[in-house]
Amino acid sequence: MNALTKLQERFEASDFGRMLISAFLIFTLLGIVVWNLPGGSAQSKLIPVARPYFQSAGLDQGWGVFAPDPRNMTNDFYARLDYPDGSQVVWRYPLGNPVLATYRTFRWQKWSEHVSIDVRSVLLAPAAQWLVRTRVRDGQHPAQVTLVQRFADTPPPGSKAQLQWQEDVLYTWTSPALPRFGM
Amino acid sequence: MKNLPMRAVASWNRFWFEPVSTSTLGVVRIGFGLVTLLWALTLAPDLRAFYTSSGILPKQPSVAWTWGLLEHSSSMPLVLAVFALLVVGAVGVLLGCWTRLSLLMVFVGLMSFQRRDPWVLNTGDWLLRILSFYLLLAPAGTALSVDRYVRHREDFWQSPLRSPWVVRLIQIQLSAVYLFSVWAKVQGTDWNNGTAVSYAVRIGDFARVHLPNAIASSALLSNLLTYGALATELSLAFLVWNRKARPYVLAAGVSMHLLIDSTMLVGFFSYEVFIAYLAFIPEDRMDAVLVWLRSHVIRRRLVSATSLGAIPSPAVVGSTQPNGAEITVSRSRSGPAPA
Repeated sequence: MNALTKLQERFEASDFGRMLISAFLIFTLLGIVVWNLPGGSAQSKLIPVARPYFQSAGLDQGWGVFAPDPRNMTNDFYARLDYPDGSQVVWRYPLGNPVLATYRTFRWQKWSEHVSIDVRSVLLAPAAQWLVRTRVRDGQHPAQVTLVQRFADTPPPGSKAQLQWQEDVLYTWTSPALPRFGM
Repeated sequence: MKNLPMRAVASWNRFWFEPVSTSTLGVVRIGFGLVTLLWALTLAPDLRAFYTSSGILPKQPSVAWTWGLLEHSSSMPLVLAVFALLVVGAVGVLLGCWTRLSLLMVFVGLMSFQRRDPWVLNTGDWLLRILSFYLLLAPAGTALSVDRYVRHREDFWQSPLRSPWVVRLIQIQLSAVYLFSVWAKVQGTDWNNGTAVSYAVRIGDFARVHLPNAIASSALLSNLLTYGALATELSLAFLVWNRKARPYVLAAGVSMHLLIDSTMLVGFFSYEVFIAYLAFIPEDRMDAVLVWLRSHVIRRRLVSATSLGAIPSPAVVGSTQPNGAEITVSRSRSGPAPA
């Protein structure tokens, strides 16, 4: 590795090396600009040029955090698990304490956004099946899993209005061998 | 006019390639290693759920040009192996031990986990991945590292001069983050009318702490924080390049991100950004800090040892390093010092 570092040092000091590195830098900087351009014909034409390099190197990026506007809705994603013995459990992703556990649980919160707000269909069935596999209770797997999005719009600043909660059923999985629940 | 191209090339070379101390790069490496290690360790409880075929995402999404060690198989033993690769690599980066290899391990580990399940990431995690690629291209183990200590023990604290093009790339990437962030924000309504922060802090599932409604819903406070955030981000895009304004701009950025971290579930986002902030510490300033640290630490040791020697204590046992310059002191609770 030390030999590599010394080789790099010589390369960076040479005219040819600086030319190559400069070409790399220009391509990278242009790629950063192209990748972050607002969607449109310019971006759609240029991104295919940058894509192989950027995706392979992990440089794909987007910095629209809370943009164009912050979400004006509070989301509460949960799953209703119905067991063959008639019992029901409500599952929510782990939260933990707000001091340290959040450095783990923020990932679950991101996942819940994609499942329930973006409603990415590729995530719904695997989520239900994972719950069936893992939420064993008294030796029983859930016979029915219902994924629910509970949400409330955020009132404008200064408003004293209370949150008005609504619910949407996103997905239901029922074991083919067992009785249906709630129907 | 004739000299313009030559002057442009000279400026380009000066900016990207004129050798500077590698102390800043070393500190960036240490910060990156620490944050990556903590990021990786917090993955441990959820490895099975996030990354195995029996978890919440049985297969890696198929996206062109992406790759990872978990792309075609994600059994638990393989996931654990990639986890170990990432953790060991992060420790190696933190210490600067076999630095280039460690950075490669981290890059491969981060790519593998992030491509395997992109739905559990935030934008800060993307920045971590981007920084791992940039640092892989840099001589990041040249200073403040075990690699340095092994090869140059006598002048460990001296940071060799090297072309800073990777550090410059990190700086420009950070400025681009904020520039495009502001650009995306002003396309909406809430950032322009000053209400964005109020909405952001009242996203219940995203809140780390639930602020009292009087604070979260205050129009005045929201205006101040919303426009303040935009001003800070714009400063980090442009004003940070002015050396006199830089400390204040970075301080504003640190304050903004610590406020975000304390109130919202952003994971390691703030600390991932701070890694890139370190790249803006001028190398001469970083050298001065290291000189102060070194003299302060060694002077404290010498003072402690001298005062102990002048007033012998039966509870003290000391040893002298072969070069006589450093003295380590340990205390025993009972018994006289050995002869």
